[in-house]
Amino acid sequence: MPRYWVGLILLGCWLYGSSSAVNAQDSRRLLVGLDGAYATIEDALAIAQEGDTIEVHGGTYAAPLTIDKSVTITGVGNPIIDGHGVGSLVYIRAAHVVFQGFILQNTGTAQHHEDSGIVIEAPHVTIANNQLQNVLYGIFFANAPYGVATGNTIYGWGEEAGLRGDGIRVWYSHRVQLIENEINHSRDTLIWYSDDLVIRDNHFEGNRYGLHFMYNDGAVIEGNTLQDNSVGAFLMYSKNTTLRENIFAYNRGSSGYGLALKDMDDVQAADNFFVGNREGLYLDNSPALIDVYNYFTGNVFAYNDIGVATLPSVQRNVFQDNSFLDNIQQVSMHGREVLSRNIWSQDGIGNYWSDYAGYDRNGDGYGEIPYHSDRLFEQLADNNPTLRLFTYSPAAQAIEFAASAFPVFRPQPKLVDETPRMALKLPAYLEAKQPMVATPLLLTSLLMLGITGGVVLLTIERRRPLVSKHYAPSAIKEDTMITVTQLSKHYGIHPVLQNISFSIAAGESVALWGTNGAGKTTTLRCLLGVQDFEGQIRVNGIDVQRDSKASRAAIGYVPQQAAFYNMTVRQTLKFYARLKRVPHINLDAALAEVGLADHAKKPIKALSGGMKQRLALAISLLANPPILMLDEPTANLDNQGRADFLALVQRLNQAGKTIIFSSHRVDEVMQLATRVLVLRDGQIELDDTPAHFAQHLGQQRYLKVWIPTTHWEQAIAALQASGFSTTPNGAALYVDTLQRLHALQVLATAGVPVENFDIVDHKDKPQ
Amino acid sequence: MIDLKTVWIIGRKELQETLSNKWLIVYTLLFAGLALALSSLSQPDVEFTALASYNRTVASLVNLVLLFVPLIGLLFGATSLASERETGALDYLLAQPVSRIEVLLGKYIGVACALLASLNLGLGTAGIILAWQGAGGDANGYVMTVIMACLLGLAMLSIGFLISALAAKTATAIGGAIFTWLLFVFVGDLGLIGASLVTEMPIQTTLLVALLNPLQLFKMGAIFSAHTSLEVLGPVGLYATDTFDTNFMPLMVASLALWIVIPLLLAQWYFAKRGAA
Repeated sequence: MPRYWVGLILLGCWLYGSSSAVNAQDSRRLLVGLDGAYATIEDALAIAQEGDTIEVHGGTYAAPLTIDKSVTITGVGNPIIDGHGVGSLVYIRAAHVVFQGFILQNTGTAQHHEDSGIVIEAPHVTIANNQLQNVLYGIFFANAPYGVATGNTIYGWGEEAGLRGDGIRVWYSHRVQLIENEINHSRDTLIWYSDDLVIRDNHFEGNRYGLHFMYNDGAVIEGNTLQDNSVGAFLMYSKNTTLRENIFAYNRGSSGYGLALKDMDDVQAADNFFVGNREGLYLDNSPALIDVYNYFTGNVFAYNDIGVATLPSVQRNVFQDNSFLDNIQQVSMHGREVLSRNIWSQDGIGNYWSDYAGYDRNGDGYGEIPYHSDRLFEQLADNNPTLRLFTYSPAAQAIEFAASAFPVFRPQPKLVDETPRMALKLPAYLEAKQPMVATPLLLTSLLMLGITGGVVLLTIERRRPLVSKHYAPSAIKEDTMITVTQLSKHYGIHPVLQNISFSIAAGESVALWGTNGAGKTTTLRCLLGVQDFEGQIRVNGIDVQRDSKASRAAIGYVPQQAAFYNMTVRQTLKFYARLKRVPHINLDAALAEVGLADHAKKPIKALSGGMKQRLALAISLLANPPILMLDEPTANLDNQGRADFLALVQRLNQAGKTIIFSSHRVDEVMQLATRVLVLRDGQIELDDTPAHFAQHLGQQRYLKVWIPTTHWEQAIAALQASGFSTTPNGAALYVDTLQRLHALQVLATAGVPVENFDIVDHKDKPQ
Repeated sequence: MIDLKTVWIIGRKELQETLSNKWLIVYTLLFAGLALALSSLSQPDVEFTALASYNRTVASLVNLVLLFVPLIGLLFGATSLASERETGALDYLLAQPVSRIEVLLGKYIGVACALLASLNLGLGTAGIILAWQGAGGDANGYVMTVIMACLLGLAMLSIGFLISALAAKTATAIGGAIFTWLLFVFVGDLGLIGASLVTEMPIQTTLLVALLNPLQLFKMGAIFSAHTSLEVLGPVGLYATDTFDTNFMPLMVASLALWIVIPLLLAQWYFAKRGAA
């Protein structure tokens, strides 16, 4: 019996000792790399027992690594497992493995093998704080429930999103937790047939689908940021899902959903932030089950192209206390129906709408007028998305305006929120934007203002002498200043000038005489080269049709009624001096010469007609041209002005200027002209001296004079007092005399304004 | 041969006159005021909103440009020759030693400088406010938007000059300018919207017809500059960016440049033929 007891005691001691040995081995730390006992992880694994910790120090280790014992493998100093582009890197086939602290890189690229950074094929595995880069698939939970992936960073392989692998794939693995991982540049984080997941505080960026989710009931998705993916999260065929405090930002791929729900039942989405997506929330047949409701509470939809988009069949979604801020389209329906089968206000709590135009009379924070989403263009675009091309177009706004102004055009509201909230409410977890000036934009904008300032500075007059090398006073090149050969001009089929030819020698003063419509002004315009014509004109030796600009440099032109720009007298003179490239000029002296010295600072509009003519004469003289061309220059001057003007022109002629002028005033012709060209019906009737011109006038039978009717009595009295017989008829007086020049002088002496006159033969005389 | 000095002398005079034009002053103040108001609208001061709110503000500025710039460009262009033809000032100017193309170019450059200065003032002021708010967009995109607005302004000015060269009277020219503005801004797009609804026009055709309108060229170019894509313009926008890819912006710029050059050449051809008559 004692032996028996001794045996039992020894057996107990042995068992205790064995047990202690095993416990001691659980806490064993096996070192790989550096000065550790093992060169490879496989060596350490070969002797490791369940519960051991294998500490792997920096260096590069071969793949694939298969972990088939329940150990903890910890990388220290970022050891690398490199697959060199072949197959998967790590297989975990034992439960309760912890794998952490590694860099895993360069998997194979075979989609059909699903080459992955880490393949987990056992439950209760923890993958922590690893960096996976250039991997086809990242972490693959395959029938691996209760797994945890936390603190890992995954950067996928490949450029084309559809050809990449999944950052994380969870496949038939219930109760997996994905926490604080960063998944970038992969295809999707794909989760199928896995219930009761927790997906918390992860960051998904640059992927195709941040989350791609099917047949996973009871998931909790919270605190994640899904940013710049093609689609933030696409959740399908699942129920009892909680989405809380996630940020869906700038997911703008071809679908571009922040969050899409298809056949999702019992969804509770609260305090999520949807910003800058093409479509913030997209609902397709969710909820799918009858009598099931999905709840959206406290979410913010801001600056999306469309805040919430739905398919027509969607119903039983409750939107309460959400905020819709400046989405181009707050809510959209893909198809022809309304959203009234969803609930937009419950228990007196509606949503904030930034385009709500109501008021809160009782101060309870909710508007008194329901919010109607009834924009016509939006509804047209919902039915025909091609029309979104006209977003931001004034035409789209015109349609909205028409719909709001004329209720007949207003569509049936897509939704009605009976108690719209007045104030925007942002989730508390959003961090305040750091106030930081965008320096490049600031500098650019300042540059733009600088350009504006520069343009304004260009207009400031600089005080410097006018100097130019061009168009210096045109030297007289030939004795014959103007030669006109076979000049013809037609307006349509009506001939104005018919094959007229003449020449003007230097120093001549030639009058173009004729009645209105005789062709005087047309001849002058042809000489100036501002009108096309047939025939040839040479001015100072220059062919007008070949180089009208150069020929005009030889001409100083005074029109019948000069029209100037809105400047002062001095500015006007300076402008034309520049244009004529006057080398040096004293503007004040030039103005003094025409009697405008005291008016230099006056605006043009303050000048009388006579002053304007004098200014035109000053301008015509600016470049000291050899030819002066005057088109009925005294037509708008009073007697004194006319006398002064003619005296000035006469002096210029005596100083050597060649002058050509048109007039139908006899006194002007007699005073100024050394030669007269009489035009009649577009032809030169007479080309002779003023004396012969006077005789020519006398050969006509009747003088027909147009005088204002207020002066008729005075005119008739003066003419009769001088022995002329007069006959008033219609608007004119007929004077029956051969001394018509004398008659005109009589009228001029009597101060009778002659508007026009003509010489007519007896056939024109009234009966 | 064109004497650039003469062109600039006329251009500078035109610039002085246009800058002192009360309508331009009113337009500039209105445009700058609205641009300032749009850019100053309070935005939520939280993370993630900077880029989106910036894009929205730029889109509003684009909208503002679409309304104002064509109107002012067309009106100033249309009255440039017609009003002086009516007063006789153009006749007198052409009687000086200048060529018609120098007159036309000078007047165009002068008015263009004034309009672009006005536009820069408005958009530059808005840019400063956006920068001060810490705008999320990059400066290059904003500059490109401003360049597109300038090109649109020049295109409208060219069309205005063509109207001015064709019109006998100022009133006719103004009427023509307003009609053209309505055509580009409203009637053209409304017609296309109607045609698209009735005929279910294919995307390619819709895009092609839309691109005949310089305002659409500007809008698409400006939005592309700010967003770097056109998905906000729906399937047609996506089709445009997919089809033209990296050639999209050069295509928009070149098309707008054609809208500047061709009407101006036509205006010059008609003006040279007609002169001040």
